[in-house]
Amino acid sequence: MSWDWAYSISIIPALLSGLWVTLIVTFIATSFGLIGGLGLGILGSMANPVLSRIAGAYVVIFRNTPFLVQLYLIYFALPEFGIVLSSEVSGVLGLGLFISAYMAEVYRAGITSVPSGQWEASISINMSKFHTWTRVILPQAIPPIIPMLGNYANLAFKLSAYVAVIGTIELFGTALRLGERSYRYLEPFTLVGLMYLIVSVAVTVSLRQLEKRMQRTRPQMTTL
Amino acid sequence: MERESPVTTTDDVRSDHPMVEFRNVVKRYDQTVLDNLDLVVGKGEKSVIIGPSGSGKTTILRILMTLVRPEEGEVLIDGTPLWKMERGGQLVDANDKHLREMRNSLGMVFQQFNLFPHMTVLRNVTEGLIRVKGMSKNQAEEEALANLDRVGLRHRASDHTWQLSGGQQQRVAIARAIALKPRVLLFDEVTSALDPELVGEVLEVIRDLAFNTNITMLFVTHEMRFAREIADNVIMFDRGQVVEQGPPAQIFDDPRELRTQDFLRKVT
Repeated sequence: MSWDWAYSISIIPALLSGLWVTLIVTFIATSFGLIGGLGLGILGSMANPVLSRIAGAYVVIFRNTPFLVQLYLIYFALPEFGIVLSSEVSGVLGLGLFISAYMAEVYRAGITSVPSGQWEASISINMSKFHTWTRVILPQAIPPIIPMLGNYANLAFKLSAYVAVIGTIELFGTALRLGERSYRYLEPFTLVGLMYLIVSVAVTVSLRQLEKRMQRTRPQMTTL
Repeated sequence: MERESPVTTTDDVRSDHPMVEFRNVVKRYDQTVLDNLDLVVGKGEKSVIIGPSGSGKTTILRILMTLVRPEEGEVLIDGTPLWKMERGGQLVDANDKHLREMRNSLGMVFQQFNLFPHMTVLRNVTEGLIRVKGMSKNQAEEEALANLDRVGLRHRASDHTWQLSGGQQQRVAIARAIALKPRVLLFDEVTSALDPELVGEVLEVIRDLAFNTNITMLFVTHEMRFAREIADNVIMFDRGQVVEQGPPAQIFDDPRELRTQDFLRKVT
């Protein structure tokens, strides 16, 4: 075994290009997850049993099946129903759907942690449901769960590697290709591992800083 | 203290309905909490409900504030059904629109204050004025400051609610409720969660409202001395039913029912 320095340096541009794709995929899927998760979290918290059960079913399905299985179904099975999506779209969609199920539960925890007195006070001043959600409940539900949402965004970043298996050339996929062509897997995957590590740790540290800052400036908004 | 005569409004001239009326109201949780309850509160009247804990007193207020739906019976605000509405000549369950319309006449102050912690004192009061009454920000702030002034907290308008003492928070809660000019104000044990030395400042504000406005007020409280001072009518309530009611002098000094006597002996 020997480390080929020349080779490692030569593949860095390709890997960085792959990293860029990974970041884009992660960003779009996480945005989808943040918004979709919020919607599911709100539906799951509603009194209406029909709505909350639909949201609940979605969460159960996407949390209890492997991500890889979901990706394959979207990319290979949907065409049977006439829905043909490119590998990139399938990848982003799959990751987004998967992550929203997890984020939904985080949002729901935040929402249910808001004391019932807040709902009652809003009723007592005759606030509409919409305003109660947007002016009273969500502003209290979301700040304490931001670190947890950040953790799932970080998870999405690492899971994005899977989209390589349905053909999207992101960071992991780039390493696969390089390896197949050069028969050297040590350098590509070590560098890839390092890149995931650096970004992931940077995100984790930033989240911890954010949490500390919130404790200092708005302590009443950090308890869950 | 001499009571000033309540300001009369056109309400009193136009209709002779009581402001609040319960007819045969039943509410059940695991057991029957309200048992064919009949209750009447006249316009501008200050009524105090007393009785043992768990007797269902708070449920009466919660039904009025539309937080809880009764199983049976009628609840009327100034002659209009609260939980039912007319549709095609029939009475059906009230929809959200009807409830929201009825809620315009109601306000409530809670034992736990229930202020909005992510907002300043001023915003707690302006929020309803802007979002519900549709006022502009400037109008709302002017109105809110006037109400905060009435409860003696204008100078804390830009503070956050968690920076205030319990008594101050409750006074803000009262300002928030009265800013919307309700016709009926409900007070649910509003001093029970306060340290004793903070109770007085809240009672002072309520005393001002009781003697100087014609708002119909319904209290659940354990403050017997205060009840005697401001109540037009004291209602002794136990196990889902009215035991007896009457002017404070009668209930406190000469209660007729054994349950009333027992209860008063325990609390005074």
